Amino acid sequence: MNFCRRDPKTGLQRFLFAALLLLLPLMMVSAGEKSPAGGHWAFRPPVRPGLPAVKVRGSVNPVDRFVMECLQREGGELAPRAPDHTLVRRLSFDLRGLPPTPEEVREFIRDQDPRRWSRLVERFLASPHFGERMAQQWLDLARYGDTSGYAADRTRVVWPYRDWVISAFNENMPHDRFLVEQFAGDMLPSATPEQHLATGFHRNAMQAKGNNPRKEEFRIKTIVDRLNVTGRAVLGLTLECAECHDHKYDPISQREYYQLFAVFNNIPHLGQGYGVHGPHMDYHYIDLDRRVEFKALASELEGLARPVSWSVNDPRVKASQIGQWHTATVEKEHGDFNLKENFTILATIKTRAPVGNIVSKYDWRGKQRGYVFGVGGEGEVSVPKGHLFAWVSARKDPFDGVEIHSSRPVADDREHQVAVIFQAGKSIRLFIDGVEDIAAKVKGTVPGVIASSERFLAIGSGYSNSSSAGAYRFEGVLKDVRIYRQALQGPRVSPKRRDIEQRMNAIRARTVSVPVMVEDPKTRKTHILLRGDFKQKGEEVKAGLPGIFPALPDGEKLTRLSFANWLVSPGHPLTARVAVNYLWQHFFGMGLVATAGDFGAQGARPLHPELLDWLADEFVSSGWDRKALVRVIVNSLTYRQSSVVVADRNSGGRFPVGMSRRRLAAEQIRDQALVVSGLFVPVVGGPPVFPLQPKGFYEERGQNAAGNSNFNWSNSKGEDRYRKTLYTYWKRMALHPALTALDAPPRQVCITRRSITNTPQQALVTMNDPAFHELAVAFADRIVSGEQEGAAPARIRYAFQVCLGRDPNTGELEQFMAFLEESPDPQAGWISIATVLLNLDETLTRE
Amino acid sequence: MIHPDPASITRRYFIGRTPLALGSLALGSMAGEGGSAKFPAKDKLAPWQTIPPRAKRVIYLFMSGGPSHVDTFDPKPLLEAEHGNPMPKEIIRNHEFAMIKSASPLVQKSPWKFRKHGQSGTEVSDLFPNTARVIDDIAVIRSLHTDSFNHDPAVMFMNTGSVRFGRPAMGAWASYGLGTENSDLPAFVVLASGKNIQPLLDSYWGPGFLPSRHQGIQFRSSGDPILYVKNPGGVSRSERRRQLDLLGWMNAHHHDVVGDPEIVSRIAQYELAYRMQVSVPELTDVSTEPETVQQMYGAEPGRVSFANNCLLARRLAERGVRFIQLYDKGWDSHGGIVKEHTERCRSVDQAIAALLKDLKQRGMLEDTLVIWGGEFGRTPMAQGGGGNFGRDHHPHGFTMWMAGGGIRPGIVHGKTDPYGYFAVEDKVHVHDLHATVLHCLGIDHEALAFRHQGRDFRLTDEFGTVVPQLLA
Repeated sequence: MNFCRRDPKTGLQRFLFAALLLLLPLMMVSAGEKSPAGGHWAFRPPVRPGLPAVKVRGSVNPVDRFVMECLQREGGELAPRAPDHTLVRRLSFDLRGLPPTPEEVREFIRDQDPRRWSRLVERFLASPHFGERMAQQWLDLARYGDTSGYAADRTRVVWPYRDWVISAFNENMPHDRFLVEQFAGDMLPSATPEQHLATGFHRNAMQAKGNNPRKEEFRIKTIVDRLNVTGRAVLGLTLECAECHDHKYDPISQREYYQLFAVFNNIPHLGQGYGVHGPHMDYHYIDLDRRVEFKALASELEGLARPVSWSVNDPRVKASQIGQWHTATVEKEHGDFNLKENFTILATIKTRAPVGNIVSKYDWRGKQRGYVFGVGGEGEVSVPKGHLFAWVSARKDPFDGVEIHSSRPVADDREHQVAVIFQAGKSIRLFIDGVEDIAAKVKGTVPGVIASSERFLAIGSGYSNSSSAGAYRFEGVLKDVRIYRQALQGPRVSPKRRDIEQRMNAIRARTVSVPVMVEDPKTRKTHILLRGDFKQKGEEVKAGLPGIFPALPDGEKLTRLSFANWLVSPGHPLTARVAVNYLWQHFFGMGLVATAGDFGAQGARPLHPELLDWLADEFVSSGWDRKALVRVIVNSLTYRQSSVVVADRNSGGRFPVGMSRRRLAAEQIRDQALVVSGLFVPVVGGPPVFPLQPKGFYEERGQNAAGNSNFNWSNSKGEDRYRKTLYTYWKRMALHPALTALDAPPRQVCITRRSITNTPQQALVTMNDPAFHELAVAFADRIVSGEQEGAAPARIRYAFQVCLGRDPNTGELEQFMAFLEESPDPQAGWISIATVLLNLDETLTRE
Repeated sequence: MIHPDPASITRRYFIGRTPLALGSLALGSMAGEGGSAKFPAKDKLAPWQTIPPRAKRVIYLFMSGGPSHVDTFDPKPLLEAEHGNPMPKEIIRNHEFAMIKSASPLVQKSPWKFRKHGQSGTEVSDLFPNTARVIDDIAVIRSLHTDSFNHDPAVMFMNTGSVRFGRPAMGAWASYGLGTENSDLPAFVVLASGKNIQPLLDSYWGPGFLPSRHQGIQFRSSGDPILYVKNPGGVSRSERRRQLDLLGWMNAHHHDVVGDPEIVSRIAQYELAYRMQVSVPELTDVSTEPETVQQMYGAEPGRVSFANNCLLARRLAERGVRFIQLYDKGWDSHGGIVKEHTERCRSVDQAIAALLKDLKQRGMLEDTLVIWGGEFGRTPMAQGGGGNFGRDHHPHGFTMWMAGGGIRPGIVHGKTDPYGYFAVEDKVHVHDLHATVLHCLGIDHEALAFRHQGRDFRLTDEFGTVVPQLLA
C-alpha cells in the first residue's frame, strides 16, 4: 500500500486527532443513515496538520517537510537535484508549455544569486503562456471543443470561453471565483459580460442536432454531462454512477442524484432544426491581427486634444435645462418632464451591468410609453446587452416611434459620458465620450410629438407594469444627469479624432454569439428517471444536496448560484482537495490521489493524506491563490529532484522518490517544434486556427457532408499556421489526426488524466507529417543561418542548445560530425540533423 | 552549458545492445497508465481467457446507416398481403420514429423476391444473390434488437455496448483482451467505403478509457494507406535509415544516463514505424493479388471500394490482425430505397461472398469470425410513398449474420413477428451479440473488465448472455 501516514505524535496532532475522533460520530449522524461511508476520509473536511519536524539545517519548504519527514522515517531521502538545464526546461514546460530559450538557460546557469530559482519561477508565472498551459488541463476537464459533437458536429463558437479561462489563470483569479463564475456567473448580481461568458463552461456538453424527435433525451443528456463534469472536475466524485440506481460504493442515492440534477435543470434549451440551441450572448472582440492596430490608434488618441465639451455654459443652453441629478431618484410631478419635442440627455456612467436605465418615462407593459434612455434596452431579448439605447414613442400604446442602439458596448466598467440628442420628426443620435456613434442602429420613425406618459420621471431606474419605478435599476456609477428641452449641438471634435474613433469602433465591432447559461425564472419540474431512462419519470424531486455533505445555511434555497457558492464554502471536504490534487498531478504526473476524478470509496487512497490536507488548507487560507500554490510546489526541492530512474529507489513502495519522467503532451510536442524552428507565433487567444491537415481526412469520413457538420478544413495561412496547438480547431468527432496520435483527447466527455502512450504512429507523425517536416526544415535553416560564421561543430552546438538547452558532449558531437560528413548533400544533412534532434527521446520528454 | 559526461555514469542498462536488437517489443507500450488489468503475455493466458477459443480474429462488415432486414434476410409474406394498409395501432403505439411523422404509417411490402438457398434452405432476397450462394456457411440471426434508434448512439451502442462517449470499441476490447499476433501491424484496423450520408466518428473505433494503443487505426484506400506513412519529400529511405541510426544511438546513450525503460520502447517504436513504412503500403496494395482473386472480389485497385477493403481484410487477417472492421456507408434509405439498396447491395454482395469463399479456401474461415450487419434495421412501414418510398430506422427487431470461427453454419436463429416489427423468438440483444463474439474469441465477457475511475467496465456492461444455439 502506498500510504504515508504519520502517527499523531505532537501535542497539536494528538489534539486534532482527538477532536476528529469526537467529531466523527457527529458527522456520521448528520450524514444520515444511508451513509455507510460517512467515515470515508474524503468526506471529512481537511484538517490542517502541523508542519512535521525534519532534521535539516536552514529553512525548509513546507512541501519538502512533509515529503522528507516521510522519507526519513523510512530511511530514505530526496533524489539529488536535477541538472540546471533540465530544471529550466521542466519549469518552462510546466508553467509555459514551451521550451526555454538557450539564453534563458544560459542566464540561469550563470546567475549566482541564491534566489535565482524563485526568480525564474516568478518570471515564468508572469508569462501570458502560463494561462495557456494551465488552461490545457482545465479544458480537458471542461470538455471544451469547437464543435457540438455527435454526428452533426457543427462548429460552435465557444473560443471566447476558452480565452476567458486563459485570462483567468493569467490574472490569477482566485479559484473560488473561478468556479463560481463558471457555474453561475450569469446569476451574480450585476453580472459582467465576462461573468456571463464564464458560464460557457456548462454549455460545453455535446449537443445533438438534426430532425431529432428525442430532443428531450438529448437535453437530459447535457444535464447528466454537467453532473458528470461537476463530479469529476470539482468534487472528485463519480456522480454519474447514481444516474440509474443508487451509487454502489459512495453514499449518493439515485434520489440525491436527481436533486442535484434539478440544480442544472433550469436552462432554456430545446430548439428546432439544425441550429445550436439554448441561450447565447453577444460577445465583442477585436480581431487578433488588428489588436496592434487598435493599440496604436488608442495611443494616438491619447495624444490628441480632448474634444471641446458640450456648450452647457451657453446661457441659451442653460435656459433650456430642466434638471440635473447626481443620484437615482424619482420626480413626483409630471409637468416639466413631459418632453414633447426636441431634447438632449447627458449623463456620466460607469457600469459593468448589461441592463440599467439612466432616464425613464416609459412603461410598455403598463401601456405608458414616452421616452427612455439607458443601457441594454430593459433586457429585451433582441437588444444587445451592455449597449446604449433610447426608445421614443409617439403613442403610449402600441409602440410607434424610434429606437436606437449603440454599435458598441458601454458597460465596460470605465467611465463614459453618454448622451442622446433627439430632434422631433428628424433624428435621434447617440454620443459616447463626446463622439457621435455614427454606426448606431436606428429603427422606426422619429416621432414629431412624443407621447405623454403618466409615469413619473425616474432617474437610474424604470418601470415594469407598475406606477412605482424600481425596475431596470442602474448598477454602478450614475452622475451628472442633465436633461435639456433642446437638441444641443454635439461637442466639436477634430476630424482627426473623429476619424481615429471611427476606425477604433469599426475594429471593436466584431461580434460573435456564444452559448452561455441562463436561468429560467420558472422552475422546471425534475423527476427521478427510472433506470436513467428519460421517458420513465418517477417521483418528483426538488433541488437538494446529498446528505453526506454539509448543508446550506438555514433557509437558503438551493439554486445554481448557491450551489456554486456552496462548492467553495469554508470547510467543504472536497473542492480544495480535488483542486490541489489536479495541480499536483500537473507537476508530478500523478496526483497525491492517483484517481484525480474519484475521491470516493473506490478511488485510490491518498499517497500522503497530511500533505494533501495541508495543501488544501493552505490553498483556501491564501484566498484560493493559485499562483501562490504553484510557488509552494515548484519552489520545493521535491519538485526539483532528478528524474533519473534508479531501479531500487522505489522498492519500499512508499512515497515515490524522484521526479517523474513523462513524454510531453501532444500540444507541447508540436509547440516545442514550433519554437525550435523559429516559426512560433506567440499570440494569445482568439478564434481557433487550422494547422496543416492531410487532404481528404474529413471527406473519407463524410464529415464535410452537407446536413452533417457541413464543414471543410481549410488550412490556415500565414501566422495562424504556427500558433500554439491549444488554439487548434478542436473537432470532437474527428480531431486533427496528429493530435489523436499523440494522445490528445477529443474532449467529448470530461478527461481527468490523459494517457501517455508510445506507438509507431507517433513516430510517423513527428518524422513524416508535412507540418512537422516543415518545422524541421526551418530549424535546419536556423542552425545554418544562426551560426553563419561557424564551422559545423559550432552549428551542432547551437542546434543542441536551441532544442535541448544544453551542449552536446564529446561523443555526441563526434557522432553528429560523422553523420554530417557522410551526408550526400550538406543541406539534406542539416535537415536530417534537425529531424533527429526534434525526435530525440530527450526532446519529446519532460524530464 | 552543462555537459552530461557519459563516463561519470554507471552503465546499468543497455550495454552491448544495439537498438535493432530491441525490435521484438510488443506494439506500443504504456507509461503510467492506471489500469489494474494485466496485459496478457503470449505464453500466458489472461484471467478472462477461460474458454477454448474458436476464432482468432474478427472481420466485421458494418453496414452503416441500417440495412433493411425485411428486404434482405427476413422475408415477411404478410407485408405483401397487408401492403398499403395502415400498420396496426397496437403494434406501433407509443413508438416514435426518426422521420416518419404520420400517425398511421402504411405497411410496405418488399420490392424484392425471397428464395430458398443452399442445403439449409435459408431464404434470402434477390438483393444478395452471391451471398445467397454461401448461405450454408452463415448463421442468420433474425431477432436482433437494440436500445437506440438514432444513428450515432446506435452505432456507438453496436460498437461499444454503450451510447455514451468514452467507452472502448469492440475491436479495442479484443486488442486489449488478446493482444496482437503481428507486432508490425496494429491489432485493430478500420476500413471505410461507401456513400457519404452519415459521417463516421473516431469514437466508433476509439480506445475509450483503454490505453490508446488499442484504438482502431484507419487504413485508407486512396492517398497514404495510413496517415503519415510516407517519408516527407526529399527524404530517401536510406537517409531515413541514417536518421534512425543516429536517433537510436542518441536515445540509447540517453538511456544510459537516465535509465528510463520507456526509451527502449521508443527506440523500438521508431524501428517499427520504419518497417511499417514498407510493410503497410505493400500490404494495402491489392493489385499484387492474382487477377482471378481480384475478379472474384470485384476489386478495383487504387479506388475507394468495399470490394478492395474485403480483399484487404483477408490480407490483414492472414497477417494476424486481430480485429478488422469495414464500414460501408450509405444504408440509411429514408427515401428511394429501391435505388439506394440496389446500389449498396451491388457494391457489397459479390465481395462478401468472395471473402467467405476465399477464407474458406485458405482454411481461414475456421478461425475467422465474420459478422455482417448495421446499427439497426428498417421499418416494415414506408416512409414517403409511391415509387420513391423509403423506410425509417428500426431498433425493435432486425437481422445480422455471422459466419466462421465457432459459429454454427447454415442456421437461422430467432424470429420477428409476422410484420417484421418486433423480435419475438430467441431474441438477441446487442449485449448478447457482444457476449457471443467474445465467447468465440475465447473470452469470458464477464471477466474481461477494465478498472476506470473506481469502477470495473465491460463491453457488455452488466448484461449479456452468450447465445449457445449460435455456437458450432
